[in-house]
Amino acid sequence: MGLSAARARRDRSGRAFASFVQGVAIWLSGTVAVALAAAFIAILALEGWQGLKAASSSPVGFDLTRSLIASGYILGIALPLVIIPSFLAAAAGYDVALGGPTTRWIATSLRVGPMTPTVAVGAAALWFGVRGGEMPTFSSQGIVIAAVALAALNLPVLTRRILAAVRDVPARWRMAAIAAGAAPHTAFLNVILPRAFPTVAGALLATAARMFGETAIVAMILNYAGTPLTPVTLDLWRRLTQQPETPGAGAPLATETLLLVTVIVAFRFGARLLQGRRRSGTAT
Amino acid sequence: MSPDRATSVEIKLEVRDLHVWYDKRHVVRGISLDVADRTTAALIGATGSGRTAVLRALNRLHDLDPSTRVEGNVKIDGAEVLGSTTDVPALRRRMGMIFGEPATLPLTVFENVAFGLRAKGVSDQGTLDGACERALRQVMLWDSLQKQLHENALSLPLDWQQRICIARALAVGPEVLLFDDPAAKLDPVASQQLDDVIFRLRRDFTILIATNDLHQAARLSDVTFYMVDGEIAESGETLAIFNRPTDSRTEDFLAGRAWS
Repeated sequence: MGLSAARARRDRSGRAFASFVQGVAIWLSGTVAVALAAAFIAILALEGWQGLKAASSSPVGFDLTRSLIASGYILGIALPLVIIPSFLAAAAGYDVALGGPTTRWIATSLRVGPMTPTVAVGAAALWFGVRGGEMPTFSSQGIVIAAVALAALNLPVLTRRILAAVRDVPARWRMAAIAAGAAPHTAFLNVILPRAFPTVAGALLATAARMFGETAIVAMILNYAGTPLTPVTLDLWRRLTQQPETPGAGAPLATETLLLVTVIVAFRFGARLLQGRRRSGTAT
Repeated sequence: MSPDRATSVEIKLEVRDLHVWYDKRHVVRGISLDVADRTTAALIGATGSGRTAVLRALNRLHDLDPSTRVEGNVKIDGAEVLGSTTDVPALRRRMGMIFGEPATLPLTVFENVAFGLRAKGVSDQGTLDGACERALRQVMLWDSLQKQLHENALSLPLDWQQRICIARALAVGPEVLLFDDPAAKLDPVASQQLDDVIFRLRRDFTILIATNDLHQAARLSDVTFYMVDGEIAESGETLAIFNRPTDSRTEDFLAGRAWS
């Protein structure tokens, strides 16, 4: 009894410490996000959007709108490409009998997938995307190939996150729905998924953040394709690697870095908030 | 139902040589039993004796666990239950299952009760309203809940949640009700009220109830099956089993004595 009481005390202390660390982490990331957003808004207020683009008159050239559009373009293509298969794979992983060879293969892929080096995914995308050794003449196709590569890179991670979210929903609800005569997919869609939705939405935001910030694949493919559209990360990377000493390069670099970090932290902060809501939802 | 009596009345459930394996553990070892129409049968036995595994086999819930294997012959009104061509969702609507822990869905009271009907494809609001009211009346909750139909069912007391789960099973018009230790999480007063509900249902449904509560088994059932290690050690009329058990293991179990 004494031992179990001591263990219970340790567990309570451990949980309290974990909650404290989690709280501090959320608070810090929130503060950073708010501070960065405030800084960004302040720059906009003081300098105006044109101010941010002021460097476009500088020798290095700078068009933030164009970069943002390119990043949004990539996200707009890559997100549906990763969301739909991830949902399907998670639904299959949830319902399909575990232990069969197919499921074991899927499970292994999900574990091994995130270990694939980014450069390998980029190379594979180039290999599949480039026909006959030449990049297609439609230059924006480079963006599509980059988006597909990003989707492939994030598919295992997002699938695992969605699967973890749906498995976190009490299994008795699924059992109850099925025992009431619902087909497994109806139970999944009508009972499990709505309860897991905040965590799933958080996972989607985190994936969007990862895609927005991904540089290696985007740089590889778009550089090879010679695509004129340059997403924020690629633009920043080019500035850092190609024109570091150019006069007037500092302002665009700072602005773009600030924007990149703000967007990513905002995505991640949103994800944490949603996941926090899921936890408190479970408690009720 | 005891085989002698079963032959003279219509058999609703027929189980022959039923085996269940949880992975490699053989938890139900070739049991056979018949339950007559509108009869209440109790499955009693120690924890791990295989009662729950039998109920889940009847409802095909073992299908959800790939590590579980079921063999044997189960029929409801002569129709095969375990066959690969069985319409399993329809079968589950015919055989409503109520779990030990109230399996209340994270939905409103109304949506909980109407869940099975919606899953069946019923969307007419009048039909859903009518079925919901009927089912809640059957579990004696309509008067208490008619003004709270759109509240979250999870916020209600556990005994009401359990009765809502029974109402959900009733709403789809089942013929058989399977209760898996339905009062396991309830206090004695709530348990008594639940027994009253089940007692009223006995007239209209064939009921199979697995229970640890011997009083509940004695109060509600017409026939009793005593299970030991996945086998039926003794079965017969409940009064006879409780008053004149023929197997010494049954006698020891009913007296609360351990046997080796």
